[in-house]
Amino acid sequence: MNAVTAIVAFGQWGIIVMCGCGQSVLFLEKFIRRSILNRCRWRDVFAQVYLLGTHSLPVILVAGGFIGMVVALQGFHTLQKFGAEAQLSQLLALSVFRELGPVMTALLYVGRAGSALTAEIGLMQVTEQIPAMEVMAIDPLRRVIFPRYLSGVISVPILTLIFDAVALWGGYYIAVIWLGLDVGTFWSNMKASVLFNTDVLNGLYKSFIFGLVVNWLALYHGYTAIPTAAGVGLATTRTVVISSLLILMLDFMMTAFMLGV
Amino acid sequence: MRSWSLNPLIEFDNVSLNLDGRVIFDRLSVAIRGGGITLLMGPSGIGKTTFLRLLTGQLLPDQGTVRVGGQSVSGQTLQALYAMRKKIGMLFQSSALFSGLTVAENVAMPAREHLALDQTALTAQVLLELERVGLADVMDLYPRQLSGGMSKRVALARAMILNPMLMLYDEPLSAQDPVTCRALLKLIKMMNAETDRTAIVVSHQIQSILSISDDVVMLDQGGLVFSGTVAQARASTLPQVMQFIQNSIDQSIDTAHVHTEGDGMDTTT
Repeated sequence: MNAVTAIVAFGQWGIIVMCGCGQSVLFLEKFIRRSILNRCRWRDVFAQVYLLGTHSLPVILVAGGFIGMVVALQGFHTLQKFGAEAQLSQLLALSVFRELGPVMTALLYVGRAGSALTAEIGLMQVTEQIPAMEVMAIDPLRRVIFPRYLSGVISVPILTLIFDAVALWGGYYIAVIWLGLDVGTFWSNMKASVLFNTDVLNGLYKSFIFGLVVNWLALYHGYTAIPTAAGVGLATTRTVVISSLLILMLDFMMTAFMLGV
Repeated sequence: MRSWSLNPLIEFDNVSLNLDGRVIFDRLSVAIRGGGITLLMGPSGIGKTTFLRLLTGQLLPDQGTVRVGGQSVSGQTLQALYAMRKKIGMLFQSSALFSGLTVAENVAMPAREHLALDQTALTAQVLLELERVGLADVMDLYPRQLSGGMSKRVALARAMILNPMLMLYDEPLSAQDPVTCRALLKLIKMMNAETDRTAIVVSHQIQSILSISDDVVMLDQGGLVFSGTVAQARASTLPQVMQFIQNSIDQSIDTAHVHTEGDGMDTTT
């Protein structure tokens, strides 16, 4: 009997999850279709890029710097055992461009801007701003959701580039200034090992995909939040947890695809 | 002297609606005539706000038809629904002002979206609407800087800027002090008297709203309890109506009466 109950509960959970997936896809299709058919308000998009960027930038700068420094420290001590510390810049650059930059930026973006997006849209539901728009014959999907989505998709790759630059600077500081690695060796090895198309661009492709997914989920959870304080809290938590797990899963799949495995 | 339209402006024809497994309306039929103020009353949680949401097409009935101005709200394209909504204004219980916009931007928003006005004409229109509600001096403030009563008046100005034929008020007097209540009542009356606009007011401040109303509709337990004029409501012997209008608490409200005095129909189920 307990096994049956567990199977039923699992089945019900599965149905709820599948319904949620379907509804989120319909939400995406609906707001993109309605927005593409109408004039895009670029002023709103750029205002949101500015807002999302300024929200996330301090976190990205601090995290990028420290992650670059940690990678340099760990890498130096490991490579030193093999007498290969000169390859530290290669390790640092490839790690940052291919993996750490896009993944860490997306995770930090979810925690900072993604949760804020969900909370903002959820609160607009709580305070009846979204229903008010509908009654005023203003489509909230076109007026509120789409500009935020587009700006989020634009912001994530830009933030990834900033993260990459700061992480490299952090690594340079540790490797050259602190550990005494030769500055010429550091930069020349990096330049020789990093390919723009396969390393830098692939990282940006990843961050673009992360931006598409993360902003979609953040807006969906906000828009469908139960219009109470607890409902908005739950929606925000869902955004952070589901997006974070999806980022890691998608990263694995895209890495396997890009490496041709 | 008001000019009443012969045909009802709003019709609910056998409307049934369930939300989250709960029956909200069960074959509700009611007609509201155009050109006056109708008080929509009933116990809390009975579906008064849902009634308004059905009128604006934010909710669709499970069965039956909702008509506004003879036009069915169901089965419309989004464009047709939006065209109909441009003729409807709504004052939300929470005012629903956009927190990121100033008072002037809030009021301007519907006009900016739907009217082809240049910036000068738009500003003049916004100023005119704010002057009507006595708030022309706060146009640069944000909603967080306003009191509850001021927020309601700004929301009223925003709802009126498109000059709607139908105005819906959801608890316009809730959580307001007596002075603000009187000011809001005066505004609602004034806004309606200017044109042949129809207004539906959902409120628990029965006596206050009755003083400016022409008709009364009462809902209870998924259906219509009473529909008629204010005079008929005051004279009604239905326990539910007496409880609400005369503040009588001696009567039981368990008896499910359906009574439409305007139609001369009185059915006890």
